[in-house]
Amino acid sequence: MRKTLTIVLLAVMGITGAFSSPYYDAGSQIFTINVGASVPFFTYNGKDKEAVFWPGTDDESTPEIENMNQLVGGIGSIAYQVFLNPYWAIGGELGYQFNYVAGTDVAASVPINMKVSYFPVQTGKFDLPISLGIGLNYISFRDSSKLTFSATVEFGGMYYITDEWGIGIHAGLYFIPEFYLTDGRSQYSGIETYIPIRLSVAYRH
Amino acid sequence: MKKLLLIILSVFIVLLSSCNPDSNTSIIFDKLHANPSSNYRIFSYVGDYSDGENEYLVLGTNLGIILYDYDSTANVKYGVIISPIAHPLMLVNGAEDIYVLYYEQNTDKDAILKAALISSLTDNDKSNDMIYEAQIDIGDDTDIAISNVYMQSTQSGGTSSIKYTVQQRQPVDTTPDNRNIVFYNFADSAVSATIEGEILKVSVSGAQKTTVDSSSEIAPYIVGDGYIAFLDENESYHDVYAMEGKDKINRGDDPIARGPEDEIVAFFGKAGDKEVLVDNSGSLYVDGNEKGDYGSFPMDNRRVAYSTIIDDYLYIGYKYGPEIITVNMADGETNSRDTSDINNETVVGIKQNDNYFYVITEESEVIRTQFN
Repeated sequence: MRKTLTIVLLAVMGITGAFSSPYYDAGSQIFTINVGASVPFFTYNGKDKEAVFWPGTDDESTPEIENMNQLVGGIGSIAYQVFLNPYWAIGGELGYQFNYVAGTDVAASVPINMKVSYFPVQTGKFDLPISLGIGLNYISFRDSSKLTFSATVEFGGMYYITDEWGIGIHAGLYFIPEFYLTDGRSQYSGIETYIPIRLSVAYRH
Repeated sequence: MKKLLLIILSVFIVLLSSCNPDSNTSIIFDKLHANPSSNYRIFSYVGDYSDGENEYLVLGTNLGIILYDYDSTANVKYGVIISPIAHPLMLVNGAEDIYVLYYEQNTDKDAILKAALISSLTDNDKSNDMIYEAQIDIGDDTDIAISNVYMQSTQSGGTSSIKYTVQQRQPVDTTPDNRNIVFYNFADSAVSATIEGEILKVSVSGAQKTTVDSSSEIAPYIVGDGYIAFLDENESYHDVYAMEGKDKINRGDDPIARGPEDEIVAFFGKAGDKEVLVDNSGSLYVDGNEKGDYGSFPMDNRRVAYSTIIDDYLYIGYKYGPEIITVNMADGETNSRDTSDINNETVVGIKQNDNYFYVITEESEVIRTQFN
């Protein structure tokens, strides 16, 4: 009980401290390695014009997508960010995600995103960043592949064991659109979304 | 920082140049959620199978046998990987389970008949143990013997049936040289035929061997439920025989020539009391008369790939699509059932189940549609 109270007290002090004196300066840098699970969230396609949430539905009216087919997969990434000022940082992130489909095939994506993060809470020991990523995405399934776009929204928490090294956890939403605007192929357009849950190791300087 | 941006930009350009957004190979999500078999080539519809919960189309593909859920286009179970030269034939009821019977032909034209336990098709650990094989003896004996799976004639409860039971048995003699074989299940019988015109039909009442006029090097082929086509002895015309090997089917005065257009008999069947024959070029013969009272087909250099008769309607599918032609055999009305889903795909099967038709195409689609 005493330990719990201590943690809560430290957190409150940290949050309070965050707004009084930020830890980061312009030019501070963070390098992060993330590994975790990717949970399919929902899909939307141009044929049925209806969102289907994972793991799917038995609705007869949407036979094409009634089963999302995908299983929980894995995701990994490396990210690098530089602070523009004590609260905002920009950088990039290169990732890889895979989800098994129908047990044997793999749907994969390689997002290359520009990343913007806001650090409203930063104590030196704890960070609670909110991040937005947007960029290009190379997706593939069986012998098909396509370069499209991707967007991520993510929040999480980091605990720094030393001044430089920290560990944490992040979760968010990962959007992958596939748009066909010409050639009457709009029925093949769709949006795929995932919930990435990642453990992170960060080095800051 | 500028160097980093340049590197990233270069990677993007390389990735962009490797993709063609207008190509079908760029479509991802539609394939992801639709038919998981969509990159396989379907070459045959084998039959229907139910595991007690779901009904499946059993499809032969270039990579193996697929169980395709009628009610869920996404719920496809993958089968064992069978070599590309495998030809699925039929489903047979074994003592405890159902087998998919298929055959392979080696370069010596010997046929190897194999049976895979259908319930093991989705179990990779078991599938290797559940395939039985043996070469076929169609010589003097009347039985078709398979190692481990032995086909024998039995009679129980007054109902005749062919039964496949699992037994430890060594393969029998090899197939005689220079024979080409087709197999087919017809009226509770297994039928094989050789290029010399010998038809062997094995049933509970014993074996029946018939020889018809044929002396070609081209294998006989199935043209419909219970009918086999052979080249005639001069290799000029295609003759159709019932699998019982009785009289040649009458086609009137205009036989199906083996001409420069490579016309062959594509289909023969019966609609009520009418005999229906469709050749590869799309010509329709009814009771031996070309086209009869029926309208002409908009062939446009297409070739007939699959035909069937369901409820007195003749359904014709083409190589490279794009439509299904239906002929009402009662009144001769011909209609084009153009569905955009078929596109330019080759039809290998048409099956009716409940209120839907399932058009099976070689390019790996099973299209659920309703012909009004």
